[in-house]
Amino acid sequence: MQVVVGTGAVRSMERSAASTRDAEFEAYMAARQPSLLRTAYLLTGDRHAAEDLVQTALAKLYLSWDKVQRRELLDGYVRRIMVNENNSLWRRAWKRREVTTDEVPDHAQVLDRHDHGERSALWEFVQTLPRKQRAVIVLRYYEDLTEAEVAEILGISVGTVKSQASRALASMRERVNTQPMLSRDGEEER
Amino acid sequence: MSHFDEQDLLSRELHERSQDVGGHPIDLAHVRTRARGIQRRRRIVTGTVAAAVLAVTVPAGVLAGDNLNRSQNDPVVQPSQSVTESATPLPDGPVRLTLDGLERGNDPKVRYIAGRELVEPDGAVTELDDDYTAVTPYADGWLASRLSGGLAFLDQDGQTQRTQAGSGFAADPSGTWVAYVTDAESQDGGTELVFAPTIGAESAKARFPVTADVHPVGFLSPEEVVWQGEGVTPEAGITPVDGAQRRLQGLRKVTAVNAATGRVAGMIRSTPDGSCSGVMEPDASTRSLLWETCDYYLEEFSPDGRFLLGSDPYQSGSGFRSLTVLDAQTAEPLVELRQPRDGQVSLTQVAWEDDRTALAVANEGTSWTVLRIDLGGGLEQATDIVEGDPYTDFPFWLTPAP
Repeated sequence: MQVVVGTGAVRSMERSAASTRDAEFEAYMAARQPSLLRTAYLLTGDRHAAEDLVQTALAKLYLSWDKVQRRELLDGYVRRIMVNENNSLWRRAWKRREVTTDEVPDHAQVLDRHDHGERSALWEFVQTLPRKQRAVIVLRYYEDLTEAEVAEILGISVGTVKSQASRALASMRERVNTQPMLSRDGEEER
Repeated sequence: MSHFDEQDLLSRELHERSQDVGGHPIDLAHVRTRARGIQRRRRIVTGTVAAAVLAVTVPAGVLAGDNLNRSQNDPVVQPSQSVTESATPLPDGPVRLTLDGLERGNDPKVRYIAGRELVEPDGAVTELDDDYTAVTPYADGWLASRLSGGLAFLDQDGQTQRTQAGSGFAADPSGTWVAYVTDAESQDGGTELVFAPTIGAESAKARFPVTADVHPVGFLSPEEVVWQGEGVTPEAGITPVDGAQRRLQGLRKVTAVNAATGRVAGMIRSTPDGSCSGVMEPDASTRSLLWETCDYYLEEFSPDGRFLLGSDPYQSGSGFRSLTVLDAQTAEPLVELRQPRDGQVSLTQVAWEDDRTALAVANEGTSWTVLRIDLGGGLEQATDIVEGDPYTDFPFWLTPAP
């Protein structure tokens, strides 16, 4: 028997499917947004930029929501978008070094546990890392991903992950030797 | 320090550093708006602009699998007809922005200032006695904003009758009211937003106290003025003639107001590489946006409110390098003026000549002129070229309606 579905019914089903899809996406977004924002902040070093980065990453995820079949891979997918987008934004930003004339003070200051009159030397060190190296550090030592997982997200080889992490740690070691406060920074809070 | 210690130290620093990072919650509406922008850029990049234009005309819910169809909970937005539903012939691609080889078209059909001459749409010229940035009819003469700051009341021959402190004015489209901010007319010396009938009747003025950093942006209706504060924490608001003031909480800097549609446009926030802007209908909400974009800084609505001029999201002191006519309903770019990589044209001011034609003050090196842009992508000079320093001279000011 052939079942004939009218145009109205088709639209109704489409609306229902879209509604379910949006509900799923919203649930994911609500659950993961704080975590994504923290990662974005570590990648960008700026809260406004982090918010913007998360919004863009979620928008791109939203557009691809139906294509991501394995929901357990969503986090990796979003992290990859954020890293790539952050690198891309950086490339674009060099062309616009001048300050926007309509700069508006917006959000409240980020509460910074280390800012007791001086910035954390270690955090400053992280911010001096090249963007790609910094992404490796954030994914490896903040997200606690394996080298293979970091390589998968960044689209680079495991060897490159190892060398990038190694270089970052070497730089950090060198900085510790010249700035002992780096190591004290950690010890004081143990 | 061992490798293990280094990694542990780094890990703890990153966790500590990010622990207290909080932000404004991003909801589905924000994500969908950003997704629309991404989708649109992708279409443009792949050269399927026509498809993008078509997409905005398709009723919500018709495109299967399109995540961007409005859900039933989305705010209903259905003011004016979308431009893409009209028969307006649009250019096929970006229009080359250059001053080279342009035709000399008719003079501007709006009031404008050229040097110290006030030129009326019919060509009548009034000699001015000072440098002004805007002039509008008032009483038996003119109300003017002085380039050096403050307001001036001129007689019909362009001669100053009196000056007073003030930060610009807004004129309602019907030409019945002007609004200005001043502390010169207050009995207690406070700063006031003054509604003044253009016939100059002192007794009919309405006054409302405002902070000293406020300036009027435009009339949202014949009885409502949108203003912008420029303080440390900029704020914008609406003051109706009955005084029941409302704050515009969704915009940080109002840049355009349209009385025909009751919409305002403005900047929402600055970003590391530019700014994001949006459009709002304050009667529906003083918080929610109809749409937002990080691709344009929003400049001026067309008189009928159907179009909106967008410039570079990043603004430098020398002006902007591109101009786009947007569909004010959807933010869809309709006409894009782009200059070649080595182009040196800067646009310093834009205004609408009528519902379908925009004007822009442009300079390239020391050459200044006014450009006319139409929705078909036509570009021509509306004035002769004059010489002037690109940074310190201001040979033209557009002061449209009323």
